[in-house]
Amino acid sequence: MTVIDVQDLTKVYRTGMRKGDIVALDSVSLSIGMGEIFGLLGPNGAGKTTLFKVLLGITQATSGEASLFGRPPSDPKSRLQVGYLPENHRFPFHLTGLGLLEFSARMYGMSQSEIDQRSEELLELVGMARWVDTKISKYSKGMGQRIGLAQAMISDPDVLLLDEPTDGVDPVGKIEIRKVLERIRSDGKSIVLNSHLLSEVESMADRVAILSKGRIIKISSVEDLTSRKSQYDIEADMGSRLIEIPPEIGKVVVVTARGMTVELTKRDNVNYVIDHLRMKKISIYSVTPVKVSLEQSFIETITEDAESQP
Amino acid sequence: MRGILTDCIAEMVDRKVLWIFAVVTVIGILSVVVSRSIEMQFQSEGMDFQQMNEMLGNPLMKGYNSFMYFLVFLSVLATAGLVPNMLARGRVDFYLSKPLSRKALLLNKVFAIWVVYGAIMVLVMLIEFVVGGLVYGMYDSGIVYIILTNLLAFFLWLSVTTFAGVLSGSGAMSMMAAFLVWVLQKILAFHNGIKELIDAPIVEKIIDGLYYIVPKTGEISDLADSLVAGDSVDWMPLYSSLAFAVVLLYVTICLFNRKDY
Ligand SMILES: Nc1ncnc2c1ncn2[C@@H]1O[C@H](COP(=O)(O)OP(=O)(O)OP(=O)(O)O)[C@@H](O)[C@H]1O
Ligand SMILES: [Mg+2]
Repeated sequence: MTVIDVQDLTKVYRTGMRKGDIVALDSVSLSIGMGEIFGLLGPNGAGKTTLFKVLLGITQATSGEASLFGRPPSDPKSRLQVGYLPENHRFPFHLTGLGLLEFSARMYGMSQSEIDQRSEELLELVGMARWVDTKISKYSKGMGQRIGLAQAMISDPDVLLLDEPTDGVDPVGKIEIRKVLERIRSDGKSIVLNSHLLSEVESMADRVAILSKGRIIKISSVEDLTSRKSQYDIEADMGSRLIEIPPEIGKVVVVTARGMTVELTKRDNVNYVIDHLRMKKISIYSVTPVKVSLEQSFIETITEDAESQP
Repeated sequence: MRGILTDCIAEMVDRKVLWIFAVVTVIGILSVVVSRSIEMQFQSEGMDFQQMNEMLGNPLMKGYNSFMYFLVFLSVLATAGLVPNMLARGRVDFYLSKPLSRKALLLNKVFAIWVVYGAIMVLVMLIEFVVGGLVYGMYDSGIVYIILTNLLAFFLWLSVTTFAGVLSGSGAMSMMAAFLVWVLQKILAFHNGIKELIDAPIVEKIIDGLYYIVPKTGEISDLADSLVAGDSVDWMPLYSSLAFAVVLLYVTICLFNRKDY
């Protein structure tokens, strides 16, 4: 089931001067299914927050379509099953932590008994039970993030849109938040995660989209982004022997006494290389696809894109 | 009300405006007591209270009306920033991401402000009424007119501050808008006099037009005095001002619906 669907979405912020118009989103298309954890990556000003705002009807699209559960952002019902943690939020200062949860819950039309039960549960979950009666204006940054996450989850939504949820949270808190999100995933809910902490996205997301200057320059599974399908590390007793591979199979990237790295034209060719080594009576200990971190892959994608631009 | 009323009360308590109203209540009580003692002074010099009261045209009730006019003024100052505050950067996302239409959000907010601050004003007014009654032994049911017309005037001001607040997103601007309308209506109250001074038919038309459009809280206050005195009243200021407020709120909603945050 498709939860979020965006087709050819463009958002131009008018600044008054025609030349100064900002294209925050440029023909963006993507769809996110139920149960998926989706990462939105991109440099500052790429348009990640704008995409959230358009989906929630906080900002209106200039052209194109966006929908949540098949409903357009102009329909308030589209937000019934959605929880949102805004970036740089300033929740109403006059509320306490508990007050914020109660107020949010009422806006979803929840009953008092539901509210009591759910807020107690959530305050425990995000580790804020001690601070329920403290005014939000007195919270530290990380405390604000925790209560913000609880606020987003109050109605037990099917989709969570989280804009930099671990921003300002301490290391232990980050792990706690990750655990919370994993629990939500195991309930079969969707999360769209917008974060600059790529290791975090890498460990949690199923798929990511990389945005740059309002365009999606890559959209793929984390698996695909972090493995170089064509490169393999082969651990073997090479000794001083030289290996030649025909160009239609691939090429040798590097050879050492204890192994080699090959880049192949296609995945199956790894069998050819293994057969070849075995014929030369070379002992093979392991063959592993070369992995890169999401961070490295991200930086490469962004630089490639920048270079391809005039 | 989806929690907006409760939130409005929490906000009001947090901003400590109750203290200001408490101080004003005390000042009001003191003025009643002081005016009574001045009057007793006169009485001891042989003036008749009943006669003086008639001569001045029921000063106690006029005093109540002016006092409530002042309460409305205070409430406008206290509430002008509330809508812009809700729409502030980083906060508006919280409200708009909830399954509530912008129209419902804004109308609920305005209504909540009107009810909460209106309730405080009525409470303060009733305290003064009871104190005045104890001191003067006079309870005039005309107080109902005074309360109703001033609550209506507060609603007019709210429509002005809400409009300016949504348009500019700034509390200072919405306060200035209210002040501007106040000055304008004070000037336009003399529209007949101004027309005599200027001898250009077009300008006269414009002044007349402005007079009918701009809300007339000053004249609504006078209307309350006439109602209390049992004089014949001209309802035009009330109707036209109410129409102004409704249209302005409608325009504000349209504006709000089209805004990007
Ligand atoms: N209200 C606004 N008015 C005008 N321009 C805006 C507005 N909001 C965002 N922009 C512009 O739109 C572009 C995208 O901003 P956006 O906040 O979506 O970026 P982002 O990807 O979330 O960045 P970050 O990682 O820094 O949070 C930026 O160039 C920004 O200046
Ligand atoms: Mg952002």
